[in-house]
Amino acid sequence: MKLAIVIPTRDRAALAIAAVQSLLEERGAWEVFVADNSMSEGEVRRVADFCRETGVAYMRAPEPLPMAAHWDWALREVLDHSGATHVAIHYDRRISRPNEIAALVSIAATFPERLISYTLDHISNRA
Amino acid sequence: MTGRVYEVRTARVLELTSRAALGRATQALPLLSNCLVPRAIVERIRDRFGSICDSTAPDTSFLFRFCAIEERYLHSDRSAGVLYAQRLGNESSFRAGRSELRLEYAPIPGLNLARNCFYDDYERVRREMSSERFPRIDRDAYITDLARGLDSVRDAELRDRFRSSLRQHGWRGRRPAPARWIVSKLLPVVRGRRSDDETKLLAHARRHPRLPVRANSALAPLDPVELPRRSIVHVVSTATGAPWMVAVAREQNRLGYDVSAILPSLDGDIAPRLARDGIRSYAAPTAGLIYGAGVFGRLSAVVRLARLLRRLRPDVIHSHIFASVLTSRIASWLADVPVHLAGNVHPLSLESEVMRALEVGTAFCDTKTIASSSYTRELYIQHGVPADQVGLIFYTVDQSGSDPALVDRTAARRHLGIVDDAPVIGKIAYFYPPPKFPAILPKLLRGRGVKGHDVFLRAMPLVLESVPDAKFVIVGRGWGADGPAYEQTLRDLAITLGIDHAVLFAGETNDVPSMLAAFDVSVHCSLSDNLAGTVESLLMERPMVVSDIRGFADTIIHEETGLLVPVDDPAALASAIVRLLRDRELARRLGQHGRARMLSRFTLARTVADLETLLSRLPERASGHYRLMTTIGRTLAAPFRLLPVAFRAWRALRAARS
Repeated sequence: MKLAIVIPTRDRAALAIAAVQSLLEERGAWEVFVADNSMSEGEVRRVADFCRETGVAYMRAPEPLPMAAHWDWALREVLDHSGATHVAIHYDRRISRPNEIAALVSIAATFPERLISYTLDHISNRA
Repeated sequence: MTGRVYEVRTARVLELTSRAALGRATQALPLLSNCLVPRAIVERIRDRFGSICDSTAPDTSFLFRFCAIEERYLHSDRSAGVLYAQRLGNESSFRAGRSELRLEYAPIPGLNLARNCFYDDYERVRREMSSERFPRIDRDAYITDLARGLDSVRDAELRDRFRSSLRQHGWRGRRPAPARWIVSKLLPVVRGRRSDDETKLLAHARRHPRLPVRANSALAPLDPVELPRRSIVHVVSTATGAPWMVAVAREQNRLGYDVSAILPSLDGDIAPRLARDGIRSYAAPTAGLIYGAGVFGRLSAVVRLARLLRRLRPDVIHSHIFASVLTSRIASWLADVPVHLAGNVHPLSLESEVMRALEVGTAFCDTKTIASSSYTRELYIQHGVPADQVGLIFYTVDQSGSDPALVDRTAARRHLGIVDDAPVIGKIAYFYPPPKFPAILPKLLRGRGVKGHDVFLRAMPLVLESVPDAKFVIVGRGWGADGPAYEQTLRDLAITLGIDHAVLFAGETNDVPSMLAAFDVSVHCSLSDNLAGTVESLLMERPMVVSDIRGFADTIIHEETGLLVPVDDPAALASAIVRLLRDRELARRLGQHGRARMLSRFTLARTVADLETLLSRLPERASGHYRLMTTIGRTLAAPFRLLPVAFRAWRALRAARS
């Protein structure tokens, strides 16, 4: 069981970096991929530099894509070029809780053919 | 939030969606951003719809596509993370009227609301599927649901336009009551303050993984799924080797099963290898029914094993290798073990009439009899084991270390003292000596080692005639008490044949991939076998020459993943080896096709997944088993069940001797 976690992001380097950092606190049978759909070169550089320093896989589509097309592209790329048995998309504005990914991976390993969904908490600030 | 896992029927999700009755259960939906999705499901969705997700909301697009093709999913109500910065999310864009979304399929297409996007995706997939799985949307409930979302639209003009649109479609909304008006004015202020405190909230959320989360009762009835922690005991009649069993046991342990092993001794290399992963090993006469001393010794071995099983009370026994399968079968049956899986690693037990009488005659003790090649499965069924009892699960090895791109081809050659450009033909197998009781074997095998080392040696002079600088590497060591003597006879044969200058007995290796990488051709000229080392060789893209025995048929397809030659035919073997040494393009193609075939079907992950699937269809836990009365009853019945089996074996032995 090998999980590929894809974090699509667009011009939100700070959020993407925080999302990845929360995942890096925990180690396990997964690999993190940042799929950058940014249009700002500054944001691109920031995310790319961070990924290089932390050893996280970084991908960038040949051209900026609409959100769904970008997710689709990122998932295809990851599935085509990694040996992942499972994939997950994480929003860039999400912080993962320590040890929870490992718990989910354990469930997925027990039921390798089933989709596993899980709960996310929301901090509601809809201003 | 209980930390439990629920099984959810997708039909229920679709039904609730059609009635706009999901409510707070939306948090338990398999949106793409809160799921672990198996690759196979992604590929099925891609095959069916052309893409994994579409529309402005890929989350919900995926949700309904998934519900369209799958019956169930699992939902964990643990909270794995925190979503924040909602103001940057798509939903906020809708509320602010910023979304570029153009809804086309929803019952009221023009309403540019996040909730309507949800129904738009539902309706889109419903139309694409033309399936009764997707009930028609209840229009009244739908309109009411959309109206509930109107208050969140911040742009007053937009909100009025939507309200008016809903009224045109029959909504009879009321003007806001004074209290609601006050709340609607105060809410943005309160939310604004919470926004300022977002950093604090986030830190709090991460420290307290049990934030109050709403119950998902709207999805009831959800069938709770207990995560199984089945205990599995592997029983094997060797204390050394058996890498395929060790690989499976370690992987099952990693997956959360409570795994242990029963071995004839703890002195071999299996016990320490398992112990490194925290897997316990126990010693018992696992092959005592065959190798025990006299009748009493054999019965005593079965009783000892049965007592150990009753003490351990495992949910599943998985036995491997003929001698331990037989002993374990009877012991498990007597001990009233819930599930007994008998793994057949070699077809010899079905090719020999004497062994077959025992193998088939005791198969009634198995919950499932697992063949490890199509050929073996056919033999089981042909000789009377019910087809639905016989499964097919290949024994494989952990493929992660067998990647030709990651292994240094020259390292093993340097170690062996072979120059880089010398053609190297190799064979990796233990030297299994001829069995002590030749009468029980098929004629071809009497007095011969089953792996056909002698055939390989006799082919060498013929290869050297065409390729004088060829080197032959034989990797392995003598097996069992008679193994060293048998190995010496093979070394002597090499001298007799005058090829000792070209052949290298390399001994045993712990690094099979590196050794294989040094070979130009890998040979398996067994006289009888099941897959054997073909999987490892093909994973390393080695072109193979193998004997045309049916046990290799699953991995070696002639001229596609290797070359088949007649069994026990040194001339044909030599000819095929020379052909591969001369036609490097053919050799490369066979190796590449072989690796692709192995990765598609013969991986450790697949083997373990097949076992998981098998187990998922069998009784769950040990409760209700290990009944003393059953053990007593079966002990009394044993002579009546087993003596006829012993008689059939004895009769077959007498016929073979005559």
